[in-house]
Amino acid sequence: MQATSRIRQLPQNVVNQIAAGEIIERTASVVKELVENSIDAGASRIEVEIQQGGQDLIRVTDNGHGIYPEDLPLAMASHATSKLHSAEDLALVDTLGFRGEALASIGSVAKVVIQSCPHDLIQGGQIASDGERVSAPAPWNGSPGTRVEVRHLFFNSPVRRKFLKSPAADTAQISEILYRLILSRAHGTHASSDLHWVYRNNEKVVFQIPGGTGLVEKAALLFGKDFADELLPVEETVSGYRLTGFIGSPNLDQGSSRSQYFFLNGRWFRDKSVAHALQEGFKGHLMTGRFPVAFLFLDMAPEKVDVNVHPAKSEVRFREAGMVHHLVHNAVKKSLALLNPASRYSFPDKSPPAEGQLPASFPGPFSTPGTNQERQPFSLQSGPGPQNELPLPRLPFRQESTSTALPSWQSAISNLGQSQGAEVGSAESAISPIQQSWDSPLKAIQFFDSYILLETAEGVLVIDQHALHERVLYEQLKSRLQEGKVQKQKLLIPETIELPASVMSQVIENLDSFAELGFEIRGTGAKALLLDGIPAILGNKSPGDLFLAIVDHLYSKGAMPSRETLLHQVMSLTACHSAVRAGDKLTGTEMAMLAQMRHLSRSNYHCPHGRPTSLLIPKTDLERQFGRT
Amino acid sequence: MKAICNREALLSACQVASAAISSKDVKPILKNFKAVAADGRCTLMATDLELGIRIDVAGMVIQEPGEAILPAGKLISILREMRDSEFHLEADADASRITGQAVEFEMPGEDPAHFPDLPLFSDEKYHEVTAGKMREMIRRTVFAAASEMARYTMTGALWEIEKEKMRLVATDGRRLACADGVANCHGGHSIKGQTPVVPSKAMTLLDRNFTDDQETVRISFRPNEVLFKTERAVIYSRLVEGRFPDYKVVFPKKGLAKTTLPVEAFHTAVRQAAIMADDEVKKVVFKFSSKKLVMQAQGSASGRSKVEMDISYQGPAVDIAFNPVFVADLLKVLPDDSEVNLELVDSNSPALFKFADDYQYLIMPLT
Repeated sequence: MQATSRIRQLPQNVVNQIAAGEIIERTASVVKELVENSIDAGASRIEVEIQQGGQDLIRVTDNGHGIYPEDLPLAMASHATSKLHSAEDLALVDTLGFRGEALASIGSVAKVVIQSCPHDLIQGGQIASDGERVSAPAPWNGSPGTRVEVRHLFFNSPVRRKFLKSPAADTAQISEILYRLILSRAHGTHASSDLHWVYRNNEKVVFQIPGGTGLVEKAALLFGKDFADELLPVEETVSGYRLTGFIGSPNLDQGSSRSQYFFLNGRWFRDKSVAHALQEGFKGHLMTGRFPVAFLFLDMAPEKVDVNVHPAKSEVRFREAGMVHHLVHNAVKKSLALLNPASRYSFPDKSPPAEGQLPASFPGPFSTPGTNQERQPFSLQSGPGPQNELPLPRLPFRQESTSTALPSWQSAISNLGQSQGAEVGSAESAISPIQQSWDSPLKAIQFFDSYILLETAEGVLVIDQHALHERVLYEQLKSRLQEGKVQKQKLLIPETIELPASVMSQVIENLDSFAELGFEIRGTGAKALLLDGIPAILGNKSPGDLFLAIVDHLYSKGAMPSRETLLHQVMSLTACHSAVRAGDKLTGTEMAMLAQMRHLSRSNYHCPHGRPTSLLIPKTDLERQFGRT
Repeated sequence: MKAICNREALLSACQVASAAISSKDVKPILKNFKAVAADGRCTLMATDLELGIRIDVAGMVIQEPGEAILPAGKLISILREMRDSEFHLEADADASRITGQAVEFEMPGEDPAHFPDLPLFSDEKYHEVTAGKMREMIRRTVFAAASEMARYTMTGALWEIEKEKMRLVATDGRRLACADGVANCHGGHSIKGQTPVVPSKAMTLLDRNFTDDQETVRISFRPNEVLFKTERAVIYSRLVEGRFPDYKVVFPKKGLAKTTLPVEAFHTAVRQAAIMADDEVKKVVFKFSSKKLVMQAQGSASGRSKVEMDISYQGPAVDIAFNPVFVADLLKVLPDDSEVNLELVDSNSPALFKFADDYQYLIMPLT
């Protein structure tokens, strides 16, 4: 009794096991630590081999500078490193590892063999650890470089072993870790950017990436060529901070931030503020709930950032966080501005939107009816803030209408333009056809076969016919499907879905939840799934899109979507397909019906994808503009 | 070319051939028919390069042989609106003219040499089957094929031909139809080593141009294409690329429960029960027990339905849910006054319908 309550120094292997708990969570962490060591050793060729998701074997072979045989025992000791010499160096870290914990931690929870030969020796050495004791160094005859073999991870800590995921899930996570490491070395400034990578899983080569390829080529190899074709370069330098890399064009938008990779001085990291700056930079180019693709490389002097915040080094603290945010935001905006002019005009800051694509929170002069009590004046000298570097926005009523549908507007516009004087911009005259239309007996008219103008008591309502119809259909579907469990249609012939490796791990970890949603998964491979049953509501639609949407949800929310969210996904697909499209000509009756149905979705002024369905131009604002009040 | 045309005969040929008119705008000439008048006959051609047809036009009096390109859409509109039962057609590379009693139409022409060539049926090795049987087999399978491109390899029917036997199989992954028939082999025609899948569109076109159940169809498979010759037409189609799933493995080993259902009464009952099923998830529960079948549907907002039918049934009771559309699709192609056999295993396994000894249909249940 007394003996157990006395304070004692813990034995070293227990200390190491505890430390391992912090760094070595899964097999992927082992791969990360070992590959980082190889990179720090100046290797130009790294081979990673795993078996059973790394649970049976992880082997990393490099041709780096190697370890001297007499240093091998130290390599297995904790807080022993060649990368850091004193506390002052901590502020100037530019190697990937430095804490000197990794090998010792791994050695305490697995059977490890290290074989290494420096380039200037004829014979190298090897050392083995069985989890408790480290063997004496023995001679080893191998080619220069280092080979670390880790077998039976957590064999001596059954509790942690139990928490290991399935081999397939671990494989997927290792792939993701390798993506990060490969991409981190893929961009210009680092000497080791011409690393040659080989990755083998269960004795099959998964990929082989030759050295000397740029980021775009690597992205093409890892994510597919279509993906790589949509990348836009980003480059910006501000007082000691440098940002380079690529962002995906808005066409490549994703349902989650999964495809955003950030690197700081060549090391992958995650950071909310950088992600936010990126998202802000894309504001107006993406619909709500969509995320851009990005590979961003930040470079700055090591003293400007503290990387020793977290043992896994995946989080950092910037000395000047505001500067970094500003840098990323500006660089992204600048890069997007170089896209074709059409997309530049779609979402000018603080001025009226074009084509009804404005984001939900758009604070522009048109208020979204019902949601905004304090309407801003319907002013066409755009609001405060930087502007004028962009041409005035193209409102949906201009040009095409004057040249096609009603030629009489042409003169009306020019008259109005003259009478209103100089301060009135082109956008002002652009909305004048609304006034003209009230002469006609129709109270609703269609523009560009896409928008409906409607007179209401409060003012002129501009309706996006597709968005509104989608919303209405969605509401109807929703009320019908609220109850009951998800029906599953069994398949005679199993359906294959191809998924990226990073997504696969999420799926495998949540097989049961997928089953609840109607997906019966029979088997999984490295990149594909076999389905024996699909949600019956899908009808003839391919299950792939829905599957990806669910995985995205899983990634961004950290949980499986509820039944309701699933329905939402399917329904927005279904509703979108059966809704009238932009470009469909509507008859007067159809228009009237659609305008009437608007009240069915009174509480929602956005389509299921988050686009607004209608905009209101308040009557009072029109009156003010025409000097009637 | 110069000819006197019979309006009705030409319209009928145009309507059949228009199925092969390209719906894409890639090659504008494919929006046209090519007409060839020679040896006292007139042939109309249409193709979208995947599918093509040459069809003989009846009732034509050729005054001057030649070739011409005729705009398909406009020509069909003209023929629909014409009141003359006979009219003059004069066409060359520059223009085509249609002259009736009181109407005259002139359309720009095009060089007929630009129209892609369609193969003739000159094969000496082929299988021959009567139009009636062919039509029956097509109608019994084509509806079960997948329509969406995501299941591309299933967007047609698999044809298995062996000496004097022929089998068509179509599936969309949820149900499968398999029809058998006999065919006469000529010249040792064989598809050994091939698993040809004929696109649904080609099969529908073939079905549409039969004029008589007694006429014969000749079928010749080539490496990537198939040719059909009927009394009045030759149809060419590319085969669906890719591997058709191994359909034989999906048939249940043995049914535990068996029943025989009268087609017309069963069809009516299924339609009645389905009224209350939701549009999005069509589901009817079929409860089989000795002497009785009860069909039930429950909609989320529409209400519920229950339909009973007396049946003779051997085996353990089984409750199984199907999409009623899949059941009705089968019953639609069976003669009303006949009977269909059903074999069941349990509520999770496919149900096997058997009609006579030459038609099988599998449906996967909803669970």
